[in-house]
Amino acid sequence: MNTNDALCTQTLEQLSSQIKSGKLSPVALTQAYLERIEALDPKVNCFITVTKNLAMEQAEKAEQEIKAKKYKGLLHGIPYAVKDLVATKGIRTTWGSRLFVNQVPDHDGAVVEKLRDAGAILLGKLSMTELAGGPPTAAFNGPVHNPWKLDHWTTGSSTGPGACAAASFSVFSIGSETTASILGPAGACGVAGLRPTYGRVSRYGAMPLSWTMDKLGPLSRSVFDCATVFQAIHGADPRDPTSVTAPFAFDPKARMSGRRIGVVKREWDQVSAKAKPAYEQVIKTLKDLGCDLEEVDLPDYPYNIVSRFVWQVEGGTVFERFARKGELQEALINKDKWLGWKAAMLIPAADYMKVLRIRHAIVLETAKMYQRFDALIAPRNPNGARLIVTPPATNGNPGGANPDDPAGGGPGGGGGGGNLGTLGNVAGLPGVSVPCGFTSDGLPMALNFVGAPMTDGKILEMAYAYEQATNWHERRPAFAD
Amino acid sequence: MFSKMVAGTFLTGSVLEAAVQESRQTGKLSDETALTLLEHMGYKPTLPDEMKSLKPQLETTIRQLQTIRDFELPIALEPAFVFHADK
Repeated sequence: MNTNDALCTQTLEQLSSQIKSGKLSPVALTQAYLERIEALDPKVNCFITVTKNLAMEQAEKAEQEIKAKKYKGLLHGIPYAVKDLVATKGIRTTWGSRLFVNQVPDHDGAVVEKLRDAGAILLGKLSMTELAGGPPTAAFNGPVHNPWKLDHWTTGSSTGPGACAAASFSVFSIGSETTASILGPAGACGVAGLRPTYGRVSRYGAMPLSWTMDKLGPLSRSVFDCATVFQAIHGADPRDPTSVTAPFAFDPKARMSGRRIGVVKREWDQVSAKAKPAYEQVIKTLKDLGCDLEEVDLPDYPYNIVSRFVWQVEGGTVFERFARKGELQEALINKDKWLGWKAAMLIPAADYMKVLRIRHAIVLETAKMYQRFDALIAPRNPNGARLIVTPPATNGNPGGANPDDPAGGGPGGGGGGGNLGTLGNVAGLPGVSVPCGFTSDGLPMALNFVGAPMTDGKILEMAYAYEQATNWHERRPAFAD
Repeated sequence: MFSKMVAGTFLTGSVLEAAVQESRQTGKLSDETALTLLEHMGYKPTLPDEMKSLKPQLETTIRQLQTIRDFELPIALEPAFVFHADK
């Protein structure tokens, strides 16, 4: 069994320099990842579809271009994989649902187009919970296993993208987040993840769940790699009218001296005694880097309720035509999902207007807060990922979730990330997850940086500085043994 | 057809308002109210113990609706609702 550990576990930063210099062949690298996926993915269940032929074609093209001195940049010849909610021309795109299991788009999503133009190589389509939400079992191809402990979950809904980056099945992956689905899986799988500012990455060709909250972003084994991928995929696209172009700069050598960081007190205080030492060390590391840290209380708003009504009413509206015919209810593994949407859709118009007014008040308050801070930080998954378990079938619903349970109630089942996580999604703020330790059970713990809109580069710099001052990101799961 | 639709809309509204009132007064929903709400959502529970998981979801929704209603916002220009006739 050839798992190609030494090669496949490297970062984009490490691999791209070898490809550019001609020391490493994109064809050899792609073959190495395909062999690794074939050998090990049965343990993890990351991939819904492996695009072997396409990957080899793209790898050979990249190799010829690089040999002809037509090097395109850091992503040229780099293999990646994408969550199965982004359209790929001629390749089935299931949205993780039995309802769309045979859907084959006639176009590529904007992110896939941009990565192809940058010379990246598509290895395949990644697992996700059905229609981007629900507990571990709510996926037509079964749960994804956390490479750090195979009986634990990755959190969702980007189950495949989180596990794929951690298992080194690709150099990076593309996930999506509505309320928790990039930062949650990145945190649970011990990799870096970037949730871009809302509107910075075109969602053309991606399954809509919540038009006003969906974002696409990278997960990878280093913050540098996330910044490199974001550089290639951001920018306005007329096919996604919410998308914008804004300046992006990421300086890996940026000084941290004087960077103002707000430590979200309530979430820090909720960390268990067991996890406390790891997060105390986070504070020390950031202070040693020269950051100015100050405790902060988030303004008092019903973040989770605003988030829930917005994404559930929008999600229910997106899929209403399938529900009207009964197809959606029949196809869903998690039967509670439609009832949750439907219950939210009972909200009278005047109350929904109020939800939107509160959401806007949150945006305005947040802008004031970011006059004082360059970033806010909060713990993520301080107790590690949850077990993959099937809840008792009290209502004939094997994938059921309690809406009060933040681990299962959000669309992603990504743990929500507390109020900072929800605030970030309600207000469309950029966020970065970076590993910051391990539980006594060997599961990753994470730290989240959340910045003001369009400060993706600044928070990537802070997360990178933290990452480089530690060595948590250098650990790799031993599931291949 | 029209009157049936309007009647249905009013009925759904009154069922919801009745649920909000009941939740405010008792802190929960009766089985009867929960079943009526589910009926208006087009769902009829059939399995034993199904209501054990469905009712808490409805109670949560109603409680969350109350929270939204109780949340006080200043009356002012609302930049959340921007409309441009030329766009």
